[in-house]
Amino acid sequence: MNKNTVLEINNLHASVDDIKIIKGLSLKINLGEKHTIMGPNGSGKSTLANVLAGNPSYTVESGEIIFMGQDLNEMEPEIRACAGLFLAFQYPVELPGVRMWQFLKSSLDAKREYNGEDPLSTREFDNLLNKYADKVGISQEFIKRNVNEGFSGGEKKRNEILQLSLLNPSLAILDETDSGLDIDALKVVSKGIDSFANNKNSVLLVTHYQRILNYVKPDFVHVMMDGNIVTSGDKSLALELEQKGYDWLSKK
Amino acid sequence: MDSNKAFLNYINTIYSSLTSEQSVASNLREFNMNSIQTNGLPTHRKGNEEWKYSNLRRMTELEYTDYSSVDNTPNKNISHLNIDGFSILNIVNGKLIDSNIIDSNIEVKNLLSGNLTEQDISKFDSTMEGVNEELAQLNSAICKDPILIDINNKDSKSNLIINIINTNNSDKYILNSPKIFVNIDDESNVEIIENHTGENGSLYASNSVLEIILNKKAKLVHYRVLEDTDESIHINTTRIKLLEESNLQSNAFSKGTKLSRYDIKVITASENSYSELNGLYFTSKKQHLDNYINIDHVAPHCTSRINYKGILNDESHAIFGGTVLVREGAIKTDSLQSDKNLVLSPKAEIDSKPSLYIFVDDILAGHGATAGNIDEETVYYMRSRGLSLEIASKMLISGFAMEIIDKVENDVLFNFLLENYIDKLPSYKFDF
Repeated sequence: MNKNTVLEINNLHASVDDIKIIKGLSLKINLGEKHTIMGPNGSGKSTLANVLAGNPSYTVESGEIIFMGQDLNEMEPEIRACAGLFLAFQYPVELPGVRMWQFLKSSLDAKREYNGEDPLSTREFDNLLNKYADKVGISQEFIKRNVNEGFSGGEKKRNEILQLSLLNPSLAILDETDSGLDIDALKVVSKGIDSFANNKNSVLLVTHYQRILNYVKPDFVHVMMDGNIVTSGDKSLALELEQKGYDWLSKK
Repeated sequence: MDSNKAFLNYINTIYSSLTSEQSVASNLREFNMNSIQTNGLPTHRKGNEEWKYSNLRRMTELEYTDYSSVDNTPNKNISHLNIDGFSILNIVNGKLIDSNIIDSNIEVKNLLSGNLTEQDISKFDSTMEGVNEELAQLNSAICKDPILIDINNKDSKSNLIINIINTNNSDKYILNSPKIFVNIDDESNVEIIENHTGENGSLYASNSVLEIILNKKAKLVHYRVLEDTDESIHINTTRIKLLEESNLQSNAFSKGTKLSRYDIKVITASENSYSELNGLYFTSKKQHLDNYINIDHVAPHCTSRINYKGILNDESHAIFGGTVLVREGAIKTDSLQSDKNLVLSPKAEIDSKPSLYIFVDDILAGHGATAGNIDEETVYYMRSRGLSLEIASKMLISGFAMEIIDKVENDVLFNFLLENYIDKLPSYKFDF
């Protein structure tokens, strides 16, 4: 395996509640690359994102997933996170009674501990947090609140981007982060993803719409249908999909 | 001899020793002793809804000893609260043993100081109805030192800590009957912390009564902190009467004991009062804790809120019996009650029964109860951020409890609760 390879999926089969969703999918992502997976509802896009993050509701039937040289199937979700994989949720979860600050600090501390680093001091952490919170337009008032509790849809998505920036993963998977956002929120979120991406990390953007690709320019576009990637291309494929829809691919 | 009879004999012994000399409290004791002898103690039998889930045998079957063999001086190390700016009353085994009143707006009288008049005595039990109040009657029959507190301030705020301390160096139980009546005058602003505690290793049953009258436009923030020992029996009857435009916030923090019953009733006696009862309870091991939370809406235009939460572990049993009664005439009542529980062990049991009895139209009322666990998706979300199952579970359990602790505006007490409640939450892993 090339040392520039961040993620390599070979012939993956995965199911949820005994229903097969992913059917023999393969995908390779190198450092510095931005990939997009598009596809109609029910094609298995979100399942793929959740299988990668280790959602215990999903079962890997066969196939291998190698992340930074490690077998992902053997790793608990928290270990995947500490090792540098991040999933921005399609539906971020509300955590009643759990303060944002405590949650974010504990998450970063856990990752640093895994990597043999000391936890940041309160001051160091606050500086970092304020910097990123400013960028995604999350105010001090929000930092004092409970995680996602009473947040609007857009605020929840911005909070995901804040966590992405803070945890600074090697691979960021964004599961329909653009859905349900108005144009202003979409710009903020896209800007966040864009400023995160560099040649030392990779992005896998799962989306239903071409819209976000006006802001986040992918290097590769894959189309997923019925549990597999049916075609891949560059950004022009996304534009073609925008015009023609997905039907022409299923007839192909 | 059955345990109930042995217990009543023990009550008789205490009663006789108290009535050997005449005092202003003699009539109060005698009247209530007669009631106890006629009615007995509440039983577990079918049809007695108030005691459906709690059996007083946990108290009556214990072996009790005479006070003469007991040293009433508490160990200096006993945990009692002491906060700057607060006047303090220390009640040990039902007697006021010392006090530090730093506020001239607080007046304290007690039987053993000899300054209670007949008229003062007549105030005790004035908030009682005499129905389903056998344990309050038991308290009145054998109380040693009824304490009367009068608070009257208009432009300032009075702060008072009442430490209810239990100590016993013998190897049998003792029964203590602390009795307190608080009158808060018109427009007075008061904070009261009622702290129930016991010396480590002491065997005791504490059957206390607290009555509070909030007069016109008075405001009270009341905290009840239960720090009684594991082996103790804790019974408390609290009655709070709200007069016109008075405002009450009462926050109860309870850890389980062998048997614990908190019977509180708020009576909205005049119009436009506001009351809010918040509670947090933790039970573990084989503890039994019964919250019997009542609001009696008598007058119109009153608002009440009940918001309780419980965390149950091991083989413990907790009960929430919330009863809101809206009487005929209590129009425009606005009442909500909620009880939520986190049950951490398959052997723990919660019986949550919010009830609402409405005898009038034109009110707003609601109630709800939940008992359950945290869902898998929630834990997965936290794990996907690098948090271990242990840390995620701990954050969720303490988060559940913090909703109630966040109501505490007193910083010292807030930190005390973090240390004594949140830091001592059971370690637990949500597993799916």
